[in-house]
Amino acid sequence: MFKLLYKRKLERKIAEFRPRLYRLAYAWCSDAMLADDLVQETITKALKKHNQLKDFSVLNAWLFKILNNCWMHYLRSKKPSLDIDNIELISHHCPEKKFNQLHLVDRVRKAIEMLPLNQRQVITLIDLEENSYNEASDILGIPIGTVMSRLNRARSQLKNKLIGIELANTTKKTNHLKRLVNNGK
Amino acid sequence: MENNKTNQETKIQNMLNALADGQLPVHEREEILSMLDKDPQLSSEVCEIYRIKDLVKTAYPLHEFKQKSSKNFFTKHAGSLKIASAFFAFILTLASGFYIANNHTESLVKTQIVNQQVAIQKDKYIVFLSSSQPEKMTQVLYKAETLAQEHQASNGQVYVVTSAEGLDLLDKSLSPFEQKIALLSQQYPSIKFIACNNTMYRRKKEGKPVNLMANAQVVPSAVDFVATHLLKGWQYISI
Repeated sequence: MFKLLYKRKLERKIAEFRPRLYRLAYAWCSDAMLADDLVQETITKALKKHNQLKDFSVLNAWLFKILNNCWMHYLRSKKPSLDIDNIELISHHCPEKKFNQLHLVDRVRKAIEMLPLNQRQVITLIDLEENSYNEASDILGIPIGTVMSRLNRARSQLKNKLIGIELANTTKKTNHLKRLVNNGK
Repeated sequence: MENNKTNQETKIQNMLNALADGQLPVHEREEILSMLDKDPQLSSEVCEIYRIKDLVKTAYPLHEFKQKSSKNFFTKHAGSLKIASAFFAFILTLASGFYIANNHTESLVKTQIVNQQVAIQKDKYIVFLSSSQPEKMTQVLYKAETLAQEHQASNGQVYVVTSAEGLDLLDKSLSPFEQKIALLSQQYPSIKFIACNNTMYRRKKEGKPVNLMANAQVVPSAVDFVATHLLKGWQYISI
Protein backbone atom coordinates (compact mmCIF):
# COMPACT_ATOMS: atom_id res chain seq x y z
CA MET A 1 0.00 0.00 0.00
CA PHE A 2 2.76 2.41 1.03
CA LYS A 3 4.75 1.45 -2.02
CA LEU A 4 1.79 2.29 -4.21
CA LEU A 5 1.31 5.67 -2.54
CA TYR A 6 5.02 6.36 -2.83
CA LYS A 7 4.95 5.55 -6.53
CA ARG A 8 1.90 7.75 -7.07
CA LYS A 9 3.64 10.64 -5.33
CA LEU A 10 6.73 10.10 -7.45
CA GLU A 11 4.68 10.05 -10.64
CA ARG A 12 2.98 13.29 -9.65
CA LYS A 13 6.26 14.97 -8.80
CA ILE A 14 7.84 13.83 -12.05
CA ALA A 15 4.85 15.11 -14.01
CA GLU A 16 5.24 18.50 -12.32
CA PHE A 17 8.94 18.50 -13.06
CA ARG A 18 8.58 17.46 -16.66
CA PRO A 19 8.67 20.98 -18.20
CA ARG A 20 11.99 21.66 -16.52
CA LEU A 21 13.46 18.41 -17.76
CA TYR A 22 12.23 19.24 -21.22
CA ARG A 23 13.71 22.73 -21.09
CA LEU A 24 17.08 21.41 -20.01
CA ALA A 25 17.04 18.66 -22.63
CA TYR A 26 16.16 21.23 -25.26
CA ALA A 27 18.95 23.53 -24.12
CA TRP A 28 21.37 20.63 -24.48
CA CYS A 29 20.30 19.26 -27.84
CA SER A 30 18.42 22.19 -29.49
CA ASP A 31 15.96 19.76 -31.03
CA ALA A 32 12.38 19.71 -29.77
CA MET A 33 11.65 16.15 -30.90
CA LEU A 34 14.86 14.74 -29.52
CA ALA A 35 14.39 16.65 -26.25
CA ASP A 36 10.94 15.15 -25.92
CA ASP A 37 12.28 11.64 -26.55
CA LEU A 38 15.04 12.14 -24.02
CA VAL A 39 12.56 13.31 -21.41
CA GLN A 40 10.29 10.39 -22.19
CA GLU A 41 13.17 7.97 -21.76
CA THR A 42 14.28 9.70 -18.57
CA ILE A 43 10.83 9.42 -17.04
CA THR A 44 10.48 5.78 -18.04
CA LYS A 45 13.84 4.98 -16.45
CA ALA A 46 13.03 7.00 -13.35
CA LEU A 47 9.77 5.12 -12.86
CA LYS A 48 11.52 1.80 -13.35
CA LYS A 49 14.27 2.67 -10.89
CA HIS A 50 12.04 4.43 -8.38
CA ASN A 51 13.39 2.26 -5.57
CA GLN A 52 16.76 3.97 -5.92
CA LEU A 53 15.35 7.32 -4.85
CA LYS A 54 15.42 7.41 -1.07
CA ASP A 55 14.83 11.10 -0.55
CA PHE A 56 12.42 13.34 -2.47
CA SER A 57 14.56 16.41 -1.78
CA VAL A 58 17.13 15.16 -4.30
CA LEU A 59 14.55 14.27 -6.93
CA ASN A 60 15.58 17.10 -9.28
CA ALA A 61 19.25 16.19 -9.26
CA TRP A 62 18.36 12.50 -9.61
CA LEU A 63 16.22 13.19 -12.67
CA PHE A 64 18.87 15.44 -14.21
CA LYS A 65 21.39 12.69 -13.70
CA ILE A 66 19.19 10.17 -15.51
CA LEU A 67 18.60 12.72 -18.27
CA ASN A 68 22.34 13.16 -18.62
CA ASN A 69 22.82 9.39 -18.88
CA CYS A 70 20.14 9.17 -21.57
CA TRP A 71 21.73 12.04 -23.46
CA MET A 72 25.20 10.48 -23.25
CA HIS A 73 23.80 7.15 -24.35
CA TYR A 74 22.14 8.85 -27.31
CA LEU A 75 25.36 10.59 -28.31
CA ARG A 76 27.37 7.38 -28.08
CA SER A 77 24.89 5.41 -30.16
CA LYS A 78 24.38 8.12 -32.75
CA LYS A 79 26.20 7.64 -36.02
CA PRO A 80 27.93 10.76 -37.29
CA SER A 81 25.51 12.50 -39.60
CA LEU A 82 24.74 15.91 -41.00
CA ASP A 83 21.14 17.00 -41.03
CA ILE A 84 20.39 19.03 -44.12
CA ASP A 85 18.06 21.21 -42.09
CA ASN A 86 20.99 22.28 -39.96
CA ILE A 87 23.04 23.56 -42.86
CA GLU A 88 22.87 27.30 -42.99
CA LEU A 89 22.50 28.72 -46.47
CA ILE A 90 25.10 31.37 -47.11
CA SER A 91 23.46 34.75 -47.18
CA HIS A 92 24.58 37.42 -44.78
CA HIS A 93 22.16 40.11 -45.81
CA CYS A 94 18.79 38.43 -46.11
CA PRO A 95 15.94 40.08 -44.17
CA GLU A 96 15.30 36.85 -42.24
CA LYS A 97 18.82 36.81 -40.94
CA LYS A 98 18.72 40.46 -39.94
CA PHE A 99 15.38 39.93 -38.25
CA ASN A 100 16.82 37.01 -36.26
CA GLN A 101 19.82 39.06 -35.23
CA LEU A 102 17.54 41.54 -33.56
CA HIS A 103 16.02 38.88 -31.41
CA LEU A 104 17.94 38.52 -28.24
CA VAL A 105 16.45 35.17 -27.28
CA ASP A 106 17.46 33.66 -30.62
CA ARG A 107 20.92 35.09 -30.29
CA VAL A 108 21.39 33.73 -26.81
CA ARG A 109 20.10 30.31 -27.80
CA LYS A 110 22.38 30.25 -30.82
CA ALA A 111 25.33 31.27 -28.66
CA ILE A 112 24.56 28.50 -26.17
CA GLU A 113 24.14 25.99 -28.99
CA MET A 114 27.60 26.89 -30.24
CA LEU A 115 29.24 26.10 -26.93
CA PRO A 116 30.97 22.74 -26.63
CA LEU A 117 28.53 20.20 -25.21
CA ASN A 118 30.27 19.80 -21.85
CA GLN A 119 30.22 23.56 -21.26
CA ARG A 120 26.62 23.82 -22.43
CA GLN A 121 25.56 21.20 -19.92
CA VAL A 122 27.31 22.90 -17.04
CA ILE A 123 26.03 26.39 -17.75
CA THR A 124 22.43 25.26 -18.23
CA LEU A 125 22.49 23.15 -15.06
CA ILE A 126 23.78 26.10 -13.06
CA ASP A 127 22.23 29.16 -14.66
CA LEU A 128 18.98 27.68 -15.92
CA GLU A 129 18.22 25.08 -13.27
CA GLU A 130 20.08 26.79 -10.44
CA ASN A 131 21.90 23.70 -9.32
CA SER A 132 24.84 24.07 -6.98
CA TYR A 133 28.35 23.18 -8.16
CA ASN A 134 28.15 20.07 -6.02
CA GLU A 135 24.91 19.00 -7.64
CA ALA A 136 26.21 19.69 -11.15
CA SER A 137 29.31 17.69 -10.34
CA ASP A 138 27.19 14.78 -9.13
CA ILE A 139 24.75 14.95 -12.07
CA LEU A 140 27.48 14.98 -14.68
CA GLY A 141 29.90 12.74 -12.80
CA ILE A 142 32.81 15.17 -12.99
CA PRO A 143 34.95 16.85 -10.29
CA ILE A 144 33.85 20.25 -8.94
CA GLY A 145 37.03 21.83 -10.32
CA THR A 146 36.02 20.72 -13.80
CA VAL A 147 32.53 22.13 -13.28
CA MET A 148 34.06 25.49 -12.36
CA SER A 149 36.49 25.61 -15.24
CA ARG A 150 33.83 24.62 -17.79
CA LEU A 151 31.48 27.19 -16.37
CA ASN A 152 34.13 29.86 -16.58
CA ARG A 153 34.94 29.02 -20.19
CA ALA A 154 31.26 28.90 -21.13
CA ARG A 155 30.55 32.29 -19.60
CA SER A 156 33.62 33.85 -21.20
CA GLN A 157 32.48 32.67 -24.61
CA LEU A 158 28.93 33.87 -24.06
CA LYS A 159 30.23 37.19 -22.83
CA ASN A 160 32.26 37.66 -26.01
CA LYS A 161 29.28 36.85 -28.17
CA LEU A 162 26.49 38.52 -26.27
CA ILE A 163 27.56 41.48 -24.22
CA GLY A 164 28.27 43.52 -27.36
CA ILE A 165 24.71 43.05 -28.61
CA GLU A 166 23.35 44.03 -25.26
CA LEU A 167 25.32 47.26 -25.33
CA ALA A 168 24.23 47.97 -28.90
CA ASN A 169 20.60 47.54 -27.90
CA THR A 170 21.04 49.83 -24.92
CA THR A 171 22.69 52.53 -27.05
CA LYS A 172 19.86 52.34 -29.52
CA LYS A 173 17.29 52.83 -26.77
CA THR A 174 19.18 55.78 -25.32
CA ASN A 175 19.36 57.54 -28.70
CA HIS A 176 15.68 56.99 -29.19
CA LEU A 177 14.89 58.58 -25.87
CA LYS A 178 17.15 61.54 -26.62
CA ARG A 179 15.36 62.20 -29.88
CA LEU A 180 12.01 62.24 -28.11
CA VAL A 181 13.33 64.69 -25.54
CA ASN A 182 14.69 66.93 -28.32
CA ASN A 183 11.36 66.83 -30.10
CA GLY A 184 9.69 67.81 -26.86
CA LYS A 185 11.83 70.91 -26.71
CA MET B 1 55.96 33.36 -14.01
CA GLU B 2 53.44 33.64 -16.89
CA ASN B 3 51.86 30.40 -15.70
CA ASN B 4 51.46 31.69 -12.16
CA LYS B 5 49.75 34.82 -13.44
CA THR B 6 47.32 32.76 -15.51
CA ASN B 7 46.59 30.48 -12.56
CA GLN B 8 45.92 33.47 -10.38
CA GLU B 9 43.58 34.99 -12.99
CA THR B 10 41.71 31.70 -13.36
CA LYS B 11 41.39 31.44 -9.59
CA ILE B 12 39.92 34.95 -9.41
CA GLN B 13 37.59 34.23 -12.32
CA ASN B 14 36.36 31.08 -10.59
CA MET B 15 35.81 33.05 -7.41
CA LEU B 16 33.84 35.72 -9.28
CA ASN B 17 31.67 33.03 -10.83
CA ALA B 18 31.17 31.35 -7.48
CA LEU B 19 30.26 34.68 -5.95
CA ALA B 20 27.59 35.30 -8.58
CA ASP B 21 26.31 31.75 -8.10
CA GLY B 22 26.20 32.03 -4.30
CA GLN B 23 28.68 29.18 -3.97
CA LEU B 24 31.46 30.85 -2.02
CA PRO B 25 32.18 30.04 1.63
CA VAL B 26 31.92 33.06 3.94
CA HIS B 27 35.66 33.75 4.31
CA GLU B 28 36.29 33.64 0.55
CA ARG B 29 33.27 35.79 -0.03
CA GLU B 30 34.65 38.47 2.25
CA GLU B 31 38.01 38.22 0.54
CA ILE B 32 36.58 38.71 -2.96
CA LEU B 33 34.23 41.47 -1.85
CA SER B 34 37.14 43.48 -0.51
CA MET B 35 38.93 42.94 -3.85
CA LEU B 36 35.86 44.20 -5.71
CA ASP B 37 35.82 47.26 -3.55
CA LYS B 38 39.29 48.18 -4.73
CA ASP B 39 39.05 47.10 -8.35
CA PRO B 40 36.25 48.54 -10.57
CA GLN B 41 37.30 46.20 -13.40
CA LEU B 42 36.51 43.17 -11.24
CA SER B 43 33.18 44.72 -10.24
CA SER B 44 32.22 45.13 -13.86
CA GLU B 45 33.21 41.51 -14.52
CA VAL B 46 30.84 40.34 -11.80
CA CYS B 47 28.09 42.48 -13.33
CA GLU B 48 28.73 40.80 -16.67
CA ILE B 49 28.46 37.37 -15.07
CA TYR B 50 25.13 38.33 -13.56
CA ARG B 51 24.04 39.60 -16.96
CA ILE B 52 25.02 36.33 -18.64
CA LYS B 53 23.12 34.35 -16.01
CA ASP B 54 20.13 36.53 -16.64
CA LEU B 55 20.39 36.11 -20.43
CA VAL B 56 20.57 32.32 -20.16
CA LYS B 57 17.40 32.28 -18.08
CA THR B 58 15.65 34.72 -20.41
CA ALA B 59 16.46 32.56 -23.42
CA TYR B 60 14.55 29.55 -22.09
CA PRO B 61 11.39 30.83 -20.38
CA LEU B 62 9.80 27.97 -18.47
CA HIS B 63 6.23 28.83 -19.52
CA GLU B 64 7.15 28.13 -23.15
CA PHE B 65 8.36 24.65 -22.23
CA LYS B 66 5.42 24.05 -19.92
CA GLN B 67 3.02 24.49 -22.84
CA LYS B 68 5.03 22.26 -25.15
CA SER B 69 5.71 19.68 -22.50
CA SER B 70 2.14 19.44 -21.25
CA LYS B 71 0.94 19.10 -24.84
CA ASN B 72 3.37 16.28 -25.42
CA PHE B 73 2.55 14.74 -22.07
CA PHE B 74 -1.11 14.45 -22.89
CA THR B 75 -0.47 13.18 -26.39
CA LYS B 76 2.01 10.61 -25.25
CA HIS B 77 0.13 9.59 -22.16
CA ALA B 78 -3.30 9.54 -23.72
CA GLY B 79 -3.21 5.76 -23.38
CA SER B 80 -2.42 5.78 -19.69
CA LEU B 81 -4.94 8.54 -19.01
CA LYS B 82 -7.57 6.61 -20.87
CA ILE B 83 -6.78 3.47 -18.92
CA ALA B 84 -6.96 5.43 -15.69
CA SER B 85 -10.30 6.90 -16.67
CA ALA B 86 -11.44 3.44 -17.79
CA PHE B 87 -10.46 2.07 -14.43
CA PHE B 88 -12.36 4.77 -12.58
CA ALA B 89 -15.37 4.41 -14.83
CA PHE B 90 -15.32 0.69 -14.22
CA ILE B 91 -15.05 1.14 -10.46
CA LEU B 92 -17.91 3.63 -10.64
CA THR B 93 -20.00 1.16 -12.57
CA LEU B 94 -19.30 -1.50 -9.98
CA ALA B 95 -19.96 0.88 -7.12
CA SER B 96 -23.23 2.03 -8.61
CA GLY B 97 -24.06 -1.61 -9.31
CA PHE B 98 -23.42 -2.37 -5.67
CA TYR B 99 -25.63 0.52 -4.59
CA ILE B 100 -28.45 -0.41 -6.93
CA ALA B 101 -28.14 -4.06 -6.03
CA ASN B 102 -28.56 -3.26 -2.41
CA ASN B 103 -31.40 -0.86 -2.93
CA HIS B 104 -33.37 -2.16 -5.87
CA THR B 105 -34.29 -5.78 -6.31
CA GLU B 106 -34.70 -5.41 -10.06
CA SER B 107 -30.93 -5.01 -10.55
CA LEU B 108 -30.40 -8.71 -10.29
CA VAL B 109 -27.49 -8.96 -12.71
CA LYS B 110 -25.44 -6.35 -10.92
CA THR B 111 -26.13 -7.92 -7.55
CA GLN B 112 -24.79 -11.16 -8.94
CA ILE B 113 -21.49 -9.70 -10.08
CA VAL B 114 -20.91 -7.85 -6.86
CA ASN B 115 -21.57 -11.02 -4.92
CA GLN B 116 -19.15 -12.88 -7.21
CA GLN B 117 -21.96 -15.14 -8.28
CA VAL B 118 -22.02 -14.17 -11.95
CA ALA B 119 -21.48 -17.11 -14.21
CA ILE B 120 -18.15 -16.70 -15.98
CA GLN B 121 -18.46 -17.38 -19.65
CA LYS B 122 -15.45 -19.47 -20.47
CA ASP B 123 -15.57 -18.90 -24.20
CA LYS B 124 -16.22 -15.14 -24.34
CA TYR B 125 -13.31 -12.75 -24.23
CA ILE B 126 -12.53 -9.09 -24.45
CA VAL B 127 -8.99 -8.30 -25.52
CA PHE B 128 -8.36 -4.66 -24.75
CA LEU B 129 -5.74 -2.48 -26.43
CA SER B 130 -4.91 1.11 -25.59
CA SER B 131 -1.39 1.32 -26.95
CA SER B 132 -0.14 2.04 -30.45
CA GLN B 133 3.04 0.03 -30.03
CA PRO B 134 3.26 -2.40 -32.98
CA GLU B 135 4.48 -5.24 -30.73
CA LYS B 136 1.38 -4.84 -28.56
CA MET B 137 -0.81 -4.80 -31.64
CA THR B 138 0.85 -8.04 -32.75
CA GLN B 139 0.20 -9.56 -29.32
CA VAL B 140 -3.45 -8.56 -29.44
CA LEU B 141 -3.99 -10.11 -32.84
CA TYR B 142 -2.14 -13.25 -31.86
CA LYS B 143 -4.14 -13.56 -28.65
CA ALA B 144 -7.45 -13.01 -30.46
CA GLU B 145 -6.59 -15.61 -33.07
CA THR B 146 -5.49 -18.17 -30.48
CA LEU B 147 -8.66 -17.67 -28.43
CA ALA B 148 -10.86 -17.90 -31.51
CA GLN B 149 -9.14 -21.15 -32.51
CA GLU B 150 -9.45 -22.60 -29.02
CA HIS B 151 -13.15 -21.85 -28.72
CA GLN B 152 -14.23 -22.39 -32.30
CA ALA B 153 -16.11 -25.56 -31.45
CA SER B 154 -18.19 -23.94 -28.72
CA ASN B 155 -19.08 -20.86 -30.80
CA GLY B 156 -16.89 -18.67 -28.62
CA GLN B 157 -16.62 -14.91 -29.14
CA VAL B 158 -13.66 -12.60 -29.01
CA TYR B 159 -13.98 -8.81 -29.03
CA VAL B 160 -10.83 -6.84 -29.72
CA VAL B 161 -11.67 -3.51 -28.10
CA THR B 162 -9.50 -0.53 -28.99
CA SER B 163 -9.37 2.78 -27.23
CA ALA B 164 -7.03 5.79 -26.96
CA GLU B 165 -3.81 5.09 -28.89
CA GLY B 166 -4.93 1.51 -29.42
CA LEU B 167 -7.39 2.81 -31.99
CA ASP B 168 -4.44 3.08 -34.41
CA LEU B 169 -4.85 -0.66 -34.91
CA LEU B 170 -8.12 -0.07 -36.74
CA ASP B 171 -7.14 3.13 -38.51
CA LYS B 172 -6.42 2.41 -42.17
CA SER B 173 -3.98 5.29 -42.40
CA LEU B 174 -1.96 4.21 -39.37
CA SER B 175 -2.31 0.47 -38.88
CA PRO B 176 0.37 -1.85 -40.22
CA PHE B 177 -2.08 -4.75 -39.84
CA GLU B 178 -4.93 -3.94 -42.21
CA GLN B 179 -4.52 -7.12 -44.24
CA LYS B 180 -4.09 -9.30 -41.19
CA ILE B 181 -7.29 -7.88 -39.67
CA ALA B 182 -9.22 -8.47 -42.89
CA LEU B 183 -7.90 -12.03 -42.98
CA LEU B 184 -8.78 -12.70 -39.34
CA SER B 185 -12.29 -11.31 -39.81
CA GLN B 186 -12.74 -13.60 -42.79
CA GLN B 187 -11.29 -16.71 -41.14
CA TYR B 188 -12.86 -16.24 -37.71
CA PRO B 189 -16.29 -14.59 -37.74
CA SER B 190 -16.22 -14.91 -33.96
CA ILE B 191 -13.57 -12.17 -33.77
CA LYS B 192 -15.02 -8.65 -33.76
CA PHE B 193 -13.02 -5.48 -33.83
CA ILE B 194 -14.42 -2.63 -31.77
CA ALA B 195 -13.53 1.06 -31.97
CA CYS B 196 -14.32 3.61 -29.28
CA ASN B 197 -16.42 6.50 -30.53
CA ASN B 198 -15.21 8.79 -27.75
CA THR B 199 -11.65 8.42 -28.99
CA MET B 200 -12.75 8.90 -32.59
CA TYR B 201 -14.58 12.07 -31.65
CA ARG B 202 -11.57 13.39 -29.74
CA ARG B 203 -9.28 12.72 -32.70
CA LYS B 204 -11.68 14.43 -35.04
CA LYS B 205 -11.64 17.48 -32.81
CA GLU B 206 -7.83 17.42 -32.86
CA GLY B 207 -7.94 17.49 -36.65
CA LYS B 208 -6.86 13.85 -37.01
CA PRO B 209 -10.03 12.01 -38.08
CA VAL B 210 -9.85 8.22 -37.99
CA ASN B 211 -10.04 6.36 -41.26
CA LEU B 212 -11.71 3.28 -39.84
CA MET B 213 -11.40 -0.16 -41.43
CA ALA B 214 -14.55 -1.71 -42.84
CA ASN B 215 -14.28 -4.68 -40.45
CA ALA B 216 -14.50 -2.48 -37.37
CA GLN B 217 -17.64 -1.78 -35.36
CA VAL B 218 -18.08 1.44 -33.43
CA VAL B 219 -19.39 1.57 -29.87
CA PRO B 220 -20.16 4.79 -27.99
CA SER B 221 -17.61 4.14 -25.27
CA ALA B 222 -15.01 1.37 -25.02
CA VAL B 223 -15.04 1.60 -21.25
CA ASP B 224 -18.79 1.18 -20.99
CA PHE B 225 -18.61 -1.65 -23.48
CA VAL B 226 -15.98 -3.48 -21.43
CA ALA B 227 -17.82 -2.85 -18.15
CA THR B 228 -21.14 -4.07 -19.55
CA HIS B 229 -19.59 -7.26 -20.88
CA LEU B 230 -17.73 -7.90 -17.65
CA LEU B 231 -21.04 -7.69 -15.85
CA LYS B 232 -22.29 -10.39 -18.19
CA GLY B 233 -19.41 -12.67 -17.25
CA TRP B 234 -17.08 -12.05 -20.19
CA GLN B 235 -13.38 -12.51 -19.52
CA TYR B 236 -11.10 -9.55 -19.85
CA ILE B 237 -7.53 -9.50 -21.13
CA SER B 238 -5.62 -6.26 -21.33
CA ILE B 239 -2.52 -6.17 -23.49
